[in-house]
Amino acid sequence: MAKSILIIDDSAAIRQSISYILQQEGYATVEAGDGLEGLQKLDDAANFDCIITDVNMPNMDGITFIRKAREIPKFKFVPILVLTTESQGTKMNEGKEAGATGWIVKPFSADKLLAVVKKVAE
Amino acid sequence: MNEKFKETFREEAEELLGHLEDILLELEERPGDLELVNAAFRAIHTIKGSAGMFGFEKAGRFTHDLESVLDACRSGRKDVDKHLIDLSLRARDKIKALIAEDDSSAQFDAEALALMEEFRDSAAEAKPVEQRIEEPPAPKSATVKEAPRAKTKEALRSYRIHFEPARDVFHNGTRVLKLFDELAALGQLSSIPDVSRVPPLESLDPESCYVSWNSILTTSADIDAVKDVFIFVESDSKLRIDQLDTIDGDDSGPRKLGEILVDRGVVKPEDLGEALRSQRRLGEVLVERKVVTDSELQSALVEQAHLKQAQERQSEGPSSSIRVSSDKLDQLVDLVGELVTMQARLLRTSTDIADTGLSSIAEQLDRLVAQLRDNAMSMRMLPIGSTFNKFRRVVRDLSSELGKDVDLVTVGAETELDKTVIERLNDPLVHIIRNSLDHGLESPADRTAAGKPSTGTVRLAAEHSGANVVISVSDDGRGMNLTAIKAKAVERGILSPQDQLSEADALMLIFRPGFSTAQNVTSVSGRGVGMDVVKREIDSLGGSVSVESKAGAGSSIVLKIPLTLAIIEGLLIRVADEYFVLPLSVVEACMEATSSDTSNGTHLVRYRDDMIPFIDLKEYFAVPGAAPDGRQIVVVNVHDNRIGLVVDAVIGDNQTVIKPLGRMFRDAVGLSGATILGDGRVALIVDCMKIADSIPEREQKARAS
Amino acid sequence: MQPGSIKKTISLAGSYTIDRAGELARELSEALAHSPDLELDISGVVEFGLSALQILYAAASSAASHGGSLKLVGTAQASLCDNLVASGFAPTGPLSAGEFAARLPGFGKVAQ
Repeated sequence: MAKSILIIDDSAAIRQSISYILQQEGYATVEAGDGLEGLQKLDDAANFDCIITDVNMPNMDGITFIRKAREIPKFKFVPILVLTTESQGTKMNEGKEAGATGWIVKPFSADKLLAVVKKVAE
Repeated sequence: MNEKFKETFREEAEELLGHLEDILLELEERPGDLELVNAAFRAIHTIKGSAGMFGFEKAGRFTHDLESVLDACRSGRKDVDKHLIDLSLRARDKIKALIAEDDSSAQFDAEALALMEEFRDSAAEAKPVEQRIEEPPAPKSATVKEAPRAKTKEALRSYRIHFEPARDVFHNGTRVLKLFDELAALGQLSSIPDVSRVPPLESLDPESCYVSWNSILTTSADIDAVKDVFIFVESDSKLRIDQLDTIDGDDSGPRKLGEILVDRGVVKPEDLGEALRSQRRLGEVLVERKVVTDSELQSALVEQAHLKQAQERQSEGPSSSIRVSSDKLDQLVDLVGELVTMQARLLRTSTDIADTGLSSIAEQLDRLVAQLRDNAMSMRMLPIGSTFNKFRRVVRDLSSELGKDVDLVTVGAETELDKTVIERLNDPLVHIIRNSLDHGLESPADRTAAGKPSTGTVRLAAEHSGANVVISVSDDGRGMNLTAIKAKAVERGILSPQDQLSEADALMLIFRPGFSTAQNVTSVSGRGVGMDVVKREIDSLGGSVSVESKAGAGSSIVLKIPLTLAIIEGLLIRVADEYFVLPLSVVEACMEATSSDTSNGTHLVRYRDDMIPFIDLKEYFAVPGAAPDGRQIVVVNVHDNRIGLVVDAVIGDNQTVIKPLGRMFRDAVGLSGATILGDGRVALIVDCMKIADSIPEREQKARAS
Repeated sequence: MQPGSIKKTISLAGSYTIDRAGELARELSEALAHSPDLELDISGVVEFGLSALQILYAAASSAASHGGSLKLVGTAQASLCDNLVASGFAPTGPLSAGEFAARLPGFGKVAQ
């Protein structure tokens, strides 16, 4: 069965490109534009094998999203990757404290994205 | 992917930049509004993060210092003033232009450079981030490397890895065991988990991690690749990676256990010295004295074994092995066979001459010849595993063709067998496996209905048993249908309807030529050839085939094959003036035969607490001459049936080089070959299986009761 | 076995990842509360995560400290074993459950 991945980013370009790369590799993807929308997706019956979230987003940021997601029993242990940039060392640690599994540094290539997703979600 | 999403990004950036303009203008009105500063930062941050992804590296680089300045503002390290807003607005226009022109040249124009300079200065003016000490390292990018390809002899390094995950590691969604799979993908890995901290169930938090590991990895990858495996967990777990000395093949032998323990800091040198003074095994002493824990000792022992193995692998690299044609190898084995025979003669002659000097030379030569023989034979021995692997493919293809789910389980792949034997086993095994899949295993639906797991299992196992290798193919299918087998045999004219057959005999019908019970002839196995070919091939290897089957639970076919076709360990015996060799592998005991044993008319003799049938080889082979007194009985065990062979004298062990029988003897029942003795005489090799087969059923029964 | 206690066999099936750790720990605690002699049929297990292994170790240790034992019975599937090879918990499978248990480093000892 195809692994299913939730992608949360306020940039449609980033979201769509991640989605595209993952779909090429046979993953099923669901997109959300911010943390709040992401949480709504978790309320659905969906089962995600991995969640990729940006940090800085309107309405609800990625860190808050992770904290809230970890409170939902079904998503307590699901791998969550944070999209970050080199300049955001603090964010990456905040992410880990909130319960993120790892991070993807922007900008990234398709190979790098896939390598990280495979590392945590396969 | 860049091109595909470039347009989306451009539109998005356009929108964000429009929004940014509004924010900046509003900010000019209310410079203290943190919400606005945050929004401005977010817009720039998004643009910067995405620009690089879609080929707008220039815009990305240009934005870098602007982002830093805005970051400083939102965390209160810098104030927003008119000048900053001016600069930001100009920067916004510049970004817009950079994205619009999509210019990939490396040069910024003067205006861009001036703006960047300004932002750099402005960022430098900001107060430094507080709590500098706790500032985490910048995130490293995780590069998950592929397993190193086997390039030209790369330098292998060994790393010792101690890994103790954080107690709450599961709560980050980390799959700890997977990290070890990543390590294993880098090279050769040995891991020892330390479970000593796992508490009893009453005090266990099932969602906490209590296990730590000591691993040794030998790889051509560098230490960064090893560290990358742990990139997401290293900040909150205990991780120590040490590179061990390079293995260079001609190193001074394996490291001592004590050195490893001291090196790891587990044992103090002075403790070691003391422990070494006792004459027992170091590890035991250290554990007993509680200097090391059992797990620490185990992991050090694993390290020792691992390094030794890695060293051996390194030194037996491609340069140290050569290809030899198997003909040459066969010639060598032949010559060694002759040599063994000559040596036996030399030994006998030297005994006759009774010259101590000569005897001592003969004995030393005897040891050398034995070593040479083992060596030559071992060159032809190959693990059967390579053949087993071929069957994986067969099973995979067949199972999809037949629509059945099948797991192939192999056991004993490391079992070594003469190369020529392995080659000749290939076809028979393919036939047997095909049969198991086609006839033996049910369809998933039938299996489920029968209360079995829907996936069937075919087990392919090899093991040494004396001078033989026993290979079995078992399935957990429906078992053989005896009624169908008998009916088919009658239909094929192999059996007459009146024949009463035991279950075992009925099962053996499947090895008769032209036998096939498949209801529908399939392309897989119902072609009427197969099992008879199997039996013929195994017979010609000097082996035997047997079948076991249990209705509903599966069946298994067992092949017993001699290890080698060339030399056997034999027991030399004499009947009148004829010499015979019994394969030592089947000999269980020798005992005196009393005349009451051999002439009580029952053809049964007491052996231990049992009555076993016996055969007088003198009668069996019709050797002329009167039977002497004080004869011997050699008890042989064939397929768990014991029989006694009555002989005139047991002479002793004998290494026997098997020579095929000449045409004249080819049909002789009960003989499988001949050999030349030390004194030049010929001895015949007895085929104990054939002789056992000739025991009438009633005696088998008598034995059983 | 203690007098009056009944040996219980629990069949495990499927993937025991961290999500099911709480459930597995509860099930084994309850069973051990009835009798310290427990058999686990692991034939249906496709995967043991680290959390599940820890629970097995903990349960075996508890059983032993109450004078009983936790025995693994059935067959350890190939997929189960293969997931545990690199981390040093198992050789490549399939194996009998007894062999699987025998190869788990330090399994069945009473925790200090």
